[in-house]
Amino acid sequence: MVMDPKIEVKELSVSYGSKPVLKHVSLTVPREEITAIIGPSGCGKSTLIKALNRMVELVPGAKVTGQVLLDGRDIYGPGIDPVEIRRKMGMVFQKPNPFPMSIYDNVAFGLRILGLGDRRKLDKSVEESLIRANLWEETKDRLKENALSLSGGQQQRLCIARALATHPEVLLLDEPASALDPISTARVEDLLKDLKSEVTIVLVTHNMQQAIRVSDRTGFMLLGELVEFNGTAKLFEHPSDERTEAYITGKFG
Amino acid sequence: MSTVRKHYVKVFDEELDKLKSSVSRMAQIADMQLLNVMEALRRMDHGLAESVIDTDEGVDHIEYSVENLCIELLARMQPLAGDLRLITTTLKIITDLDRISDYSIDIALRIRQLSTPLPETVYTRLSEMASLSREMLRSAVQAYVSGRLDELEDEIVKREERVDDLFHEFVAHPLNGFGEETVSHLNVVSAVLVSKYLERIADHCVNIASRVYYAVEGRRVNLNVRIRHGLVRA
Repeated sequence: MVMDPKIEVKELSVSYGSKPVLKHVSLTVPREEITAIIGPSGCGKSTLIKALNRMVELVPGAKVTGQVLLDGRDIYGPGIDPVEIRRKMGMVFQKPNPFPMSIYDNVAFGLRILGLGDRRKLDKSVEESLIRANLWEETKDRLKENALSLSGGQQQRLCIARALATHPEVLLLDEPASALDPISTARVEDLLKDLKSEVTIVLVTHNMQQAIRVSDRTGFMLLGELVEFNGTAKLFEHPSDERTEAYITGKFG
Repeated sequence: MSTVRKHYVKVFDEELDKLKSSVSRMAQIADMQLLNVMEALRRMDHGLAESVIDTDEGVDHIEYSVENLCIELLARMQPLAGDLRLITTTLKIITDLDRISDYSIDIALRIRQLSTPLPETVYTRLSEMASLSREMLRSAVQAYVSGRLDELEDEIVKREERVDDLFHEFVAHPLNGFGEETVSHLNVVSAVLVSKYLERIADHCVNIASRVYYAVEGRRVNLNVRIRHGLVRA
């Protein structure tokens, strides 16, 4: 049992129209840890992560039941501002998506939306975010350059810096390294391990070795259900459920 | 009972089968070495003892090829869960089998030192130790190949206890069975040393059985500690 979890998901179900996509999922995400969600394509892992910050509501016809508690408060409860939730739960997507503007403006974008206009404060926040994303040394002399001039791996770290700029409490990453080469992947993974002491991280990944390398806990999903949720070492060394064993060993029958 | 599943990557199943076959073959050679060396000891057959020594290279060759296959599978297939446990267990088991083979070689080398055959009563006790060890080896390797534990723990425990008892008898009363005639000190020492080698062979068989529990069920079972009723081993 996780004491004082950062996020608690209780009987969460999501359907797109009449099609159920998540079925009664319950799990707890500990603070300052990396939680990985794995499973085959179509299992519902991306839907789960989007449900954690109410992005799933942007899908036409999406219906959500159950609870997602952030620090004990249901983010789907009455009076909760979804924009504020999305500020607290930053998200990074599979394909790096820097805005078509300068490196500096990418990181400052969210801060300006929140009303931060003071130039010196913006400069400081941009620098801090790029440092936290391990990108400062590579970009400090070219902040005015277009972000699209960066390599794929750098763009993804820029997206992480952009997410970090608004000081989220949680970072949600949906296959953040799947479009990156091995070295860029290693740098992103290293970054996540450095960040977890400051921000709770939930990571969806197809790459089981990545889940093993970076995460503290792992959940295995199949056909919309959370089949198993356990310490990463335990789940990958000796899973409790046969379906988990079959998936991670690549077996059928 | 769980369904027998096959890997999507068929070649992985084939290579795991090849791994098991090689380990089984290595165990058969180790078993044959022990059988032959005990026969050589009984008959003071130096030629048979030398032939056991000659098989050492073959055992080493299998050990290296199994080790290479394990490393290749770890790198290529990046196995997890039961597959990972099986491969890492295999790496440990081949070391135990190699040591069992080495002890048979040590017995064969000891035969060279004997001036006369050992008394029958002495040989009978040594022979019993060897037979029990061979039974344990066969049970443990069978469990490794089949992935089924059945009564393995009970089979191992009772046999190893008997081997231990016989060994302690050799250490406590080394002259037992040598009769009233002038005793060759070298023969007495050789008998005690052979009993030690056989006790170590039994220990390695117990190790193999313990490791198979980890491979199959993912739990650490130290059959040696159980057998010694919780005494701490150095």
